[in-house]
Parts: sequence; C-alpha cells; structure tokens
Amino acid sequence: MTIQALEEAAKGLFGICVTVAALEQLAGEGGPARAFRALCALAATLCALRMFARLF
Amino acid sequence: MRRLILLAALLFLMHPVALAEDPAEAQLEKAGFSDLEALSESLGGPDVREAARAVLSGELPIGRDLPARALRQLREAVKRALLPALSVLAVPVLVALSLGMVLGADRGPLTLLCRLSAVYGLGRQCAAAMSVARDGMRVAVRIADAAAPVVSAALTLTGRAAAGATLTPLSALCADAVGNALIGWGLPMCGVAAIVAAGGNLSERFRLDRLFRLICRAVTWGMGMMIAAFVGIMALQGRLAATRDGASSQALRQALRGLVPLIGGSVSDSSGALAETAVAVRSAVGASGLLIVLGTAAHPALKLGAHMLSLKLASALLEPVADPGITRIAACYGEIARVLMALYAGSVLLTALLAGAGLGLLGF
Repeated sequence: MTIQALEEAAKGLFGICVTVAALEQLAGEGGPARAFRALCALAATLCALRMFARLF
Repeated sequence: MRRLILLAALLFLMHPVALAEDPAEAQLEKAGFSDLEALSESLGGPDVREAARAVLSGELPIGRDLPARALRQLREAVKRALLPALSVLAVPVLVALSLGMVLGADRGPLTLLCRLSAVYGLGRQCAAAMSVARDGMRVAVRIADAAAPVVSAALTLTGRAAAGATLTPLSALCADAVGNALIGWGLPMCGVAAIVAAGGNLSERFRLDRLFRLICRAVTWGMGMMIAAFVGIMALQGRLAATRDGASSQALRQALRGLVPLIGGSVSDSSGALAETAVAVRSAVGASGLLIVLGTAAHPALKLGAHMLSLKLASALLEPVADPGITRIAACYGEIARVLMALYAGSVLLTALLAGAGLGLLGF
C-alpha cells in the first residue's frame, strides 16, 4: 500500500513536470506563466513531501 | 570371547554408508543431493554432480578459462544491449539536432516531445530490466529454499546438527529479505526513481536531480543495511551452533571411549575417519550449491550489466550531439540500471551465503 501510494505520488510529480516543461515551451516567460510555474513548483514540492511522508 | 567382541565391533563399523561401494557417493545421496541436481537441471544450471565429484577428488569445479569466457560473453551482451539503446535514442536525438540546426534556440514544444519520446523508449527498456531482475531474484529464492534442506542434511551428517537446524529459519529469513525487501520495496523504488528521472529532466529549469539521487541512495543504503544484518545474524548463529556442536561431539567421543570397554577408543577413531568423509561430502554439497547459485545468476547478471553499460555508453557517446535533457535522461536510466544490478547482486549474495554454508562460510 505504501509503495503504491509512493508510485502514485511519483506519477503526480511527473504530471507536474510535464506541465511545467510544456508551459515553459509554449508560454515563454510572461507574468501569468511565471505565476503558474511557481504554483507548479509548490505542488511538486508537496508531492515530493507526500512521497517521503508515505515512505517513513 | 575376545573374537566375539572383535566381531561385534566389526558389525558396528559396517554402517550402511561404509557398506556402499563409494561412501562419499552414498553420503551425497543421504543428504538429498538428487534434489539439488534436479533443481539445477530444471533451472538450466550447471552439472552439479560433476562439480561434486570434482570437489571430492580435490579439484576446482570451474574451468580455467572462466574469466576469459565471462569477459567475452559480457562484451557480446553489451553489443546486443547497446544497439536497442542507441536505436531508441536515435530518433529523438536526430530530430532535436535537426530542429536545433533549422530553428536555432527557439525550438518550441518539439524539444519536449523529443525528450518524452526518449523517456518512453528508455522506460520500456528499464521495465524489461526490472522484470529480468525480479525473475532472477525469484529464482534465487527458489534455490535458497531447495538448497537449505540439503546443506542442513550434509551438516547433520558431519555431526553439525545444531548448525544444520539453524539453516531452516535462516532460509526463511533469506526468502523474506529477498521477497519483501528487495522485490517488494527495492524494485518499486527503482520504478519511482525512473519516473522522477523522467520528470526531472524534461525542463532545463525545473529539475529533480537531488530527489532522484536521494531515492537511488535510499535503495542502496537500505539494501546494504539489510545484507549487513543478514550476514551478522548468520555469523552469530553459525558461531553459536559451532560451539553447541563442538561440545556434543566431544561428549560423544568421551562417552564412546569410557562406556565401551576395549574397543571404545577404536570406535571413536573410526567415527572420526567417517566424519572426515562426511566433511568432504559437506564441502561438495556447499560447492555445488554455490555453483548452482552462480551458474543460474550469471545470465541475468550479464543482461543487467550489459543494460547498465549500454545506457552509460549511449549517454557518453551522444553527449556532443544530443539534446542535454536526453543525455541526462539516458545517464539517469543507467544509474537506475546500476541500482537494479546492485539489488540483484544482493539477492545472489544472500542465497550464495546460505547455499555455500556447507563450505564453512560464516562459521558454519
């Protein structure tokens, strides 16, 4: 169960990474893109935190 | 009267083992060696009967050309593995290169697509390598389960009953360690590391390098600690059992000398001679167990090693021409292959320690 949750968190993290990379390529460096990127970075950190919270 | 006593002593010494044409062969059968032989045959392993005979006659049961043969096979395996790795990376690398030449720095979302394509191809190869490692570890558990009773019987034949008895719980512990820790935890963690490596290298500014390294290190540290704990427990059990067996063997010899008049000393010396044959048989069983483990582990280990080397080579070869993200992804998957190789080597080490207990490893 723990490992399954870990894998799900990692998949979530992957989704966030793809979104950020796509945004970077499509939207460039405008104000809304920067704000969305910061939100994604926060979500990625929370995802990584959830992974390790599940692990320990 | 004296003749009668001598006749009785003669009959006492005519143990079933002594009656057989070859006492060592008879003792091998008594230890259940045919089970080990059947297991090796079913797994496509080496001829362990020949190996046991070689050990009994004092020879080394491996060919002298083994290092050269292993190196040749590794070279061939790397060649076989390098081609799929390069072919998986060729399309995204060439597309990214031509885009760079045509469009310059402003390549748009196509770079992301190239990286995702590389991730897909390498991910499939990584899943195949994980499946090789998982199957190999399951085979290792099967060998440990089958070898433990035979080694235990061989130890009992040499008067090491306490040492033989400790092997059964150790075999269960080994199966648990490989099944739950390495297969149930280590392999999924490698999968998580693969996902993190893929996601963390899609963008130049949004990286997950430290998380990837942390996961890989957590797996190798966890495995190292588990192996250290298993070796410690096994060494401790082996020492304690050796002490118990030594005490009971000494007591038996003293009892034979003291309780049986006239012939007690001779019987005690004869039992010592029989025990020496049994020790040779125990070594043969231990060497055969080790040979099965190493013989069956060689093929998956070669495959995993070749997979790891091919990814590292591909990453190094493509660095000047490839998109940096693709190179990093290949390097990360090479690192995951290294962790997989370490996990597999760990499971083989645990099984080898158990199957080779007959050789006196860790005090057995």
